[in-house]
Amino acid sequence: PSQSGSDYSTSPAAKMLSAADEQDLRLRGCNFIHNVVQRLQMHQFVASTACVLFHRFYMRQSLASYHHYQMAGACVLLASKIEENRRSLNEISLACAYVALKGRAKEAAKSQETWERLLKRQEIVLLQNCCFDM
Amino acid sequence: MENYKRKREKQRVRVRSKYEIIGFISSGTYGRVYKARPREGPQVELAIKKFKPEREGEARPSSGISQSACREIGLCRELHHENIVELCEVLMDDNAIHMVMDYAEFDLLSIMQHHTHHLRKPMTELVIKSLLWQLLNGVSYLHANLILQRDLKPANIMITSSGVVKVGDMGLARVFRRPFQPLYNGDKVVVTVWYRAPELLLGTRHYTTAVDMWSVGCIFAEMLALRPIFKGDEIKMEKKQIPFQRNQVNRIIEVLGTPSKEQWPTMELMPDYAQMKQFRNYPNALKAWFTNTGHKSETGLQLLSSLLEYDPERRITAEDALDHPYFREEPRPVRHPFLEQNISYPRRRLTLDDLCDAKSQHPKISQHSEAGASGSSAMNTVV
Repeated sequence: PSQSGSDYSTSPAAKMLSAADEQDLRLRGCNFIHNVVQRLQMHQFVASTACVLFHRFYMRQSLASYHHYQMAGACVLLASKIEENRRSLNEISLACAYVALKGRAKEAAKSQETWERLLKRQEIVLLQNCCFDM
Repeated sequence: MENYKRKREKQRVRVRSKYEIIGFISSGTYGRVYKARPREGPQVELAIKKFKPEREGEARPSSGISQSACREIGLCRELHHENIVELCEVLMDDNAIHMVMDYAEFDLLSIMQHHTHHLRKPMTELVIKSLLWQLLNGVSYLHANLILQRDLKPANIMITSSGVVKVGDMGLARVFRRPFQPLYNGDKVVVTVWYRAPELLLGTRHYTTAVDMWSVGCIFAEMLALRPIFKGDEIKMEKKQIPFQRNQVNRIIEVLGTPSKEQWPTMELMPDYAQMKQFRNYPNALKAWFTNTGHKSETGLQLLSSLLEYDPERRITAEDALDHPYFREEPRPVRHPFLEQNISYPRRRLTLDDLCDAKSQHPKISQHSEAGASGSSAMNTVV
């Protein structure tokens, strides 16, 4: 189903979230993607692909069941491979932690490992839900 | 949470409940390949490529799913051509990606080995011509869709029992439509060394579809002679420094002669051009090499030398090669050379050892099956 404007009535999260909340979370997810991509100086294509993956994922799964930042990070990881613009998992997880913690570098370094594990797991979830269409 | 997990587990499509694994075919750095059959529906033979699952504590930290799986799935999903391996389905099981693909009974390497070791006679011109034409047909489809294969070699060329060529292993393939970085930055080393084009050996930063054509040329030569034409010794990479493949370059110029400025005007611009001075001068000996193989077709030699052209700009393209006079000459290429010529090769040997090993990697299966049932009968109860 294609999304036009702010019509999220068919979204899986529609029962749990208002359209405004849904839009807000999606926006935050895409913002997160752009921040991470910019921080790693990756190509704009990576951000665009990641955002498409992100929206596709949330047309199949609810925003209430999967955290938007986690999935946004996984989208960047996968998009970096699809667009042949690789960064190591190490770099991507650190950038995700940094952006998620709004630039608190010390805390980010601590949560990097957690992010690494999360990204690897959610990448698989993402792939399965996108039916390996990349 | 427990309930949820159990529910998820139930919904998951398990590879073994959908397909019956008949045997183990081969393994590589990416993982393993099995031969399989669907449990329901038409009885067709399939190949299942299982990528190595994620493991903790490996020497090199993994970064999620492998890039080669990503490329192969992404590209194969969109490619549909008679001479390209077809992807049927992708499944996630046991934390590993399983790609379900068309099964091909042979690969070019096994056929050539059968000719050298068992039949002890060369492949007939008709078979060579038909296989080469189909290979070019597949490659030209890839190039027309802006895809570089980057790892063409006999082992990656699958052939069905009737003799239809299927180009396989797209793990190194990539789209070159919009490289926002030189291709060199992505993968420093591409193509198996015996099939690597001279511009790659000289460290070029940008390369084109011509690198695939060089590989095709090497494969053509290998079919004629039943041994690799440029069988150089690979120099292993040390301290992340990409070595200059001296021996491989030497093998090439021994046969093709030292390239002159007229032959390859941009050679001097290659990063490793300085290395070329260390070799002594050789004349072009391709004609003698060709005569030595016992093949006589004049146009065949022409096609071979235009595939093995030093200058990538002048090397023949796949599309032009399909129109080459060689294919218009008798014997004309056919679609099912083995079927029409009544040639049969021994079928792929399947090992069961590794299958047993694979079973032990799936401990969950036995939990699902009825207690007491054993071996293959247990497998059949899981539906």
